[in-house]
Amino acid sequence: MSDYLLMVLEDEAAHATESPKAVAELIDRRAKFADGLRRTGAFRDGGRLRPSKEGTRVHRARGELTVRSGPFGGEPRALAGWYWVDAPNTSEAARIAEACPVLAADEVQVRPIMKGRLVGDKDARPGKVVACAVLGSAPTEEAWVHVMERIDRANHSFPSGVFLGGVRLEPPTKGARVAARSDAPSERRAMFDGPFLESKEVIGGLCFVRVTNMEEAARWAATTDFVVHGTLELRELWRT
Amino acid sequence: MADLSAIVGETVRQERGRIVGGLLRFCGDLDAAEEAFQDAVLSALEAWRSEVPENPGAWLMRVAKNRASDARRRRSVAQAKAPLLVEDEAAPDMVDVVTDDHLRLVLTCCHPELARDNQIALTLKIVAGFSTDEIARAFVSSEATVSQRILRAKQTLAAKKVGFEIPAKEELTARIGPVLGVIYAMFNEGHTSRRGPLMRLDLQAEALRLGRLVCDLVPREPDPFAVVALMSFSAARAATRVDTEGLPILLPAQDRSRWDRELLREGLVALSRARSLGGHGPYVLEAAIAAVHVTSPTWESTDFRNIVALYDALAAIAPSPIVALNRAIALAMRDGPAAGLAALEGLAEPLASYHLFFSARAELLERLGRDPRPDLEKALSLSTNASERKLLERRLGR
Repeated sequence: MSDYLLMVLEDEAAHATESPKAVAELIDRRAKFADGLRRTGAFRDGGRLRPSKEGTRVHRARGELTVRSGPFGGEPRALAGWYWVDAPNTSEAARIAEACPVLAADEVQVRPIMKGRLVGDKDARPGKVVACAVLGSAPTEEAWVHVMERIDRANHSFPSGVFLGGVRLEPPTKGARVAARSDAPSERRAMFDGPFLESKEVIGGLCFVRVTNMEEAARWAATTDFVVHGTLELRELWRT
Repeated sequence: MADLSAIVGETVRQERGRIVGGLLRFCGDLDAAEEAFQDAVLSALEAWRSEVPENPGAWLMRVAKNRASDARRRRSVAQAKAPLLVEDEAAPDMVDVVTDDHLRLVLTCCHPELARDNQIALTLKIVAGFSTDEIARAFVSSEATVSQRILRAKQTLAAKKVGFEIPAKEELTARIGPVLGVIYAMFNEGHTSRRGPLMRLDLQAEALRLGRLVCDLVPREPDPFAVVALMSFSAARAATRVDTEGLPILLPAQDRSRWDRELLREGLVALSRARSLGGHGPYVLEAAIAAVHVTSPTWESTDFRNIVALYDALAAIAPSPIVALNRAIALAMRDGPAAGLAALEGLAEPLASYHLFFSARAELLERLGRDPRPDLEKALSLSTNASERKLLERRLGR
């Protein structure tokens, strides 16, 4: 069995115009989907992010630090949630993604996990949990080693659990993309023929920190190597 | 450079609770903690003129801590030798300390020894940072009354020797109850003020912010999420609750397309969280009832069967005449006005001074072709809210 990250990319504009009834139903169906994954033992982790317009992006170029608030534009869909699943291969992981309840305009990206470290119950303790999505076409190996070391150190020296694990992903070409079929929009189909031209910002990985507020997360982000090689997008976890 | 007082103001808004909470642990006294914090804010206005520090919150904490320590040294030389307990609060590895400090402050201001109005005044003053004048305006009260309330609250805390420690799990759950009571009362005061205009959105916004804060502080308690859901559902409808003349528009006539979708979503997620944490108390049931209303495309197509069932469940664990009244209104929608009227029997006495009982009964009488005027007159004589009075007068044909 291998680890896969299913990233739910939502068309936030489409979600904003959905009827409250449909929103309630989607929340319900997602909860049932996650329960189903738990029953089959495929579920390893999962969660939902607050809207991208509440997010922050941190980037450092030539020593100059840029901190930008959402919405970010540029991409038609924003990362809205993830499921970390255990599956025998990419096609099976894609099959799970096909069953994930989403709107027609949404997509689910399936990406093999290269390395990962998991801390369960991210929302069990007080504070805010912030997801840090690593954006950048090629985050270097050093950047990852750096953050993984940090996570290791953090886990040893801070039992309080400030660093809550993370995953580094294989490139999109090794994954799949699940979207509505153009000929039958109510059905969803996995496509394995990357690269995914629509996406300009490849997510290289995801890690989590527990902080008291977003500003603190941004200060932490500024100290990592990620912001030199790419951008860190910080998004508060939605307790669900 | 951005306006300095705006930067300081924003930092104060963000950091007040955690810093005052931290100082409270350090000083053991609410007044001293507040004073040290105010001193630090004044220093910031001076010191940040040349350069705003990289971590403004940590700066404020450090300076406030020094002020508190100076003040303590002045009071007692012996005490000054005690080690400083407060570290640099802004370091990310201090999350537990910081959230504990914040929680300590909220629990102290909502201490069960204090009367509800005093709890609210103290919470608005210390946790939310409202000025006495702002609190007075929010409650259409005088500054003197509010100052008196805050003073009395502080005296009570001192007299009862209230400890600032955070209780263990079971007692903590019990202590969260009054905190939510304060937040919800604050929200409801904003929802329909006893005096003045129909809604006070600043109070509502603050109550919602405090509710979210409590969710962050005790993320495994279902009730804070249920209260946030309730408030979100209600706040989502705020813009549709009054017409252009400021008269109230009741739920059946509200323009549902103008309800705030984001707040509705927030509420739905919070309710789902409360339920998945095993919540089944009154707040969860009330939020569930509100959720049925807000997810229904029209008033007529509302699932009143479900609403009556939820009110039955609510009446079973938290019976009250108000719950019975609301159940009767839902019953009237499910089974017709006669059934609703029958369910109102016996409520006239306990609700003899509640204007909404009479306006609801008037509505049912009218639908049955009977004379609603005596009940409308009675409601009018009981209502103190100007907008509601105007609406009743209109229904009376005046």
